[in-house]
Amino acid sequence: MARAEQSYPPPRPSAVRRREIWAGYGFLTPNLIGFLIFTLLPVLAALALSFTEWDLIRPIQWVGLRNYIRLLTNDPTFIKVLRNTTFFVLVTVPLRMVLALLVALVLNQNLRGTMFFRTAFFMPVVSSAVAVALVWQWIFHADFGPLNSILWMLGVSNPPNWLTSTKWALPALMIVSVWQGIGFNMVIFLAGLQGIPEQLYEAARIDGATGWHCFWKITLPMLSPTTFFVLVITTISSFQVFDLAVIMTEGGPANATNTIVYHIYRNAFQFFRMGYAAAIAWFLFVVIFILTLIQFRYQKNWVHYDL
Amino acid sequence: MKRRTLGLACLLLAMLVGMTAWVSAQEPVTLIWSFWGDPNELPPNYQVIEAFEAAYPYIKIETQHAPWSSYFDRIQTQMAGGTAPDVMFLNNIPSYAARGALMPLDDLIAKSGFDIEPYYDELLKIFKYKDVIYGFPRDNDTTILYYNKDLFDAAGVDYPDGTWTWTEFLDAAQKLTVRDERGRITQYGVVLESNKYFNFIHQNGADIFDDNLNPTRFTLDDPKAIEALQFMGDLINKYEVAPSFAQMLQLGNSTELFQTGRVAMAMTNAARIPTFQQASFRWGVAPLPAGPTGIRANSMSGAGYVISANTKHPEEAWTFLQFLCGVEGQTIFASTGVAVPAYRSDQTRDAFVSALPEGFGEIFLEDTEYGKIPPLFDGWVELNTTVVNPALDLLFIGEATAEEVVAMMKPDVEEFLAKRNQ
Repeated sequence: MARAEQSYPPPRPSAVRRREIWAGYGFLTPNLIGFLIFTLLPVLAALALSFTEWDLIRPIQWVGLRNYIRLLTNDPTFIKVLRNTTFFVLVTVPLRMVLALLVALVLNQNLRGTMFFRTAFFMPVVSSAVAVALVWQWIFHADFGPLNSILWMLGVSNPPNWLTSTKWALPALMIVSVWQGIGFNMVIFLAGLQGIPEQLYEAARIDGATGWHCFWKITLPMLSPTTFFVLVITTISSFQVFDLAVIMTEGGPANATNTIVYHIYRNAFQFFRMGYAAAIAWFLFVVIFILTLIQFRYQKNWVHYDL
Repeated sequence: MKRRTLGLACLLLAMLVGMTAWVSAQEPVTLIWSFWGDPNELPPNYQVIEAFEAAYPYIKIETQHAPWSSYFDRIQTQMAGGTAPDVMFLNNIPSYAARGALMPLDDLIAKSGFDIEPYYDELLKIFKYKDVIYGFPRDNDTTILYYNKDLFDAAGVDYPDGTWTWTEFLDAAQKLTVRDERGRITQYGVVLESNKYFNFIHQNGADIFDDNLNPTRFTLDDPKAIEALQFMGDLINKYEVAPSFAQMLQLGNSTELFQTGRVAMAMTNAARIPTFQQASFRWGVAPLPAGPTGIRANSMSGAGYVISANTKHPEEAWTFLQFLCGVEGQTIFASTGVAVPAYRSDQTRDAFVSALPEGFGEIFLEDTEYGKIPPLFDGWVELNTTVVNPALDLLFIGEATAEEVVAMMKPDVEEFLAKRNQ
């Protein structure tokens, strides 16, 4: 392909074509300007800041790699939040995907009430994170929360203390996050499912394929571009978990639910370590970037774009 | 004709010059004053402004108000941009002073003869950085024991009479804790506040550092300090008379729990009074219980007013600060009854006492005399958030003993001190 382009340079675009190109850029401009000013510039500024020490008031001091060295060798809280966040991602990403796919498969049938359930599953996505967190706080209450009341009725004599124990607080947040995240992924999966041509299933059925076969041989492969997109988006958003931890547990007890982004916030706005906070933010960025690269690199083994 | 015109012109000119001189003497200055506060805390601020503008007509005060949750982010950003308000309501003064954000006041105090004697010495200490004064307190955060008389009567427990030690306190709390048929606690004896743990340590004759403003030694491993922490842990997990702080995120804070009658006693400050006055039960206040050996101690801390290092009107800002923190301003704050005056004078005392139900004011003022300051130094917020509190969490949720959590935090605190005192 590349060679072909070299030997046949593209012809000079016609006047009409050129005008279209300029119009295209014209339409892009507002968004591009926004992106440059509010995304790219701050991201680059943060990179520069991560090599400095700045408390917002005293002059900025260049400190080279010191922030990164401290991050990797001398911040026990960072190790803790890194572990919490990784655990959180490893558990919630698969659950958010598998459960969303299951829900989407069920709601893709032509059954009565699917509209209602689609709306119901999507509700958490459009609900205020604060309200959601407050309601769940109550659900998790060790003595009076509905969750433990149910467990108690089922015969669990000593149900977990959920948010007030170092062992259960993070799993509790994971439950909320999964509940919250299913709706969005479900909608994407539904769109993907509806894009699979019906003839494929008809042909398969004529050849004697069971529902199970259809799922593995048609649905999953045909859905793989959607699954890939969902995987990338879900992974990124899981790494950025913050609001639930802030509202429900304030990162506690004993840092059990402290996360990377919460650690960034505290360093920047409570301890006035802008440079250090920027270094953690860049660390997180690089981790997410590498993971996303890996996902793109290996997608060709399982993602099928051709019909 | 010509001469008359000239004369008139001269007269006009003279008048103009005169007027300009007069105007420049009275050149109006606008100061920006920032504060946080719930809606019910705001009226005294506007009263102060009204009184001040009447006394100093050439200074106009503009306000910048934000709720507690977003106040500090905004001030930080403004400090970074060099546009901080001229006069600010602030806490953690040393950490801002260390960064050069505040104007040192020693010279101004000396020049103007502003009287700092009436302030509690102990309280003034937290407004200093390297022995220089950077601001003055608005009030003292005196903690008091609020008790629900209806619940005391129902349980047949005598009201606290000011002679209580931890023993009587625990005894009452146990009698006032109520459980349902499944053993769940439906009414707690007492609710504590997580940021007041040093009161118990002080009441047992111990402290967190050898000097809470310039620490050189960590003293929380003193058996008396450990005993005090363990007493708090036991209130929550052994005697089960108080909810843990982690649980309070779910149940509600001390104010909400007391106001809804779900706890019989609360240890909190005077700012709660207006809220509690709307409660549907009878309640009273008492001094904090003394430690086992009779040591009384209360909190001594509070937010206060400072001047920005970048103000364009240092003179006027200082004039306003003196009014705000002097007897005029302090009397206005005291007269609301929610601010225990940090400034001792007959006027502030009378204003405070007469604003409260009979007998209340004296109890606040008397216990304030036992005030002791908590740790406060540049870096304390970070040390407390990353090392001390996570360890204490384990004690308060019952997953470790006081001895274990102090041992856990000790190496990190000592490493911090070693670095700090290099």
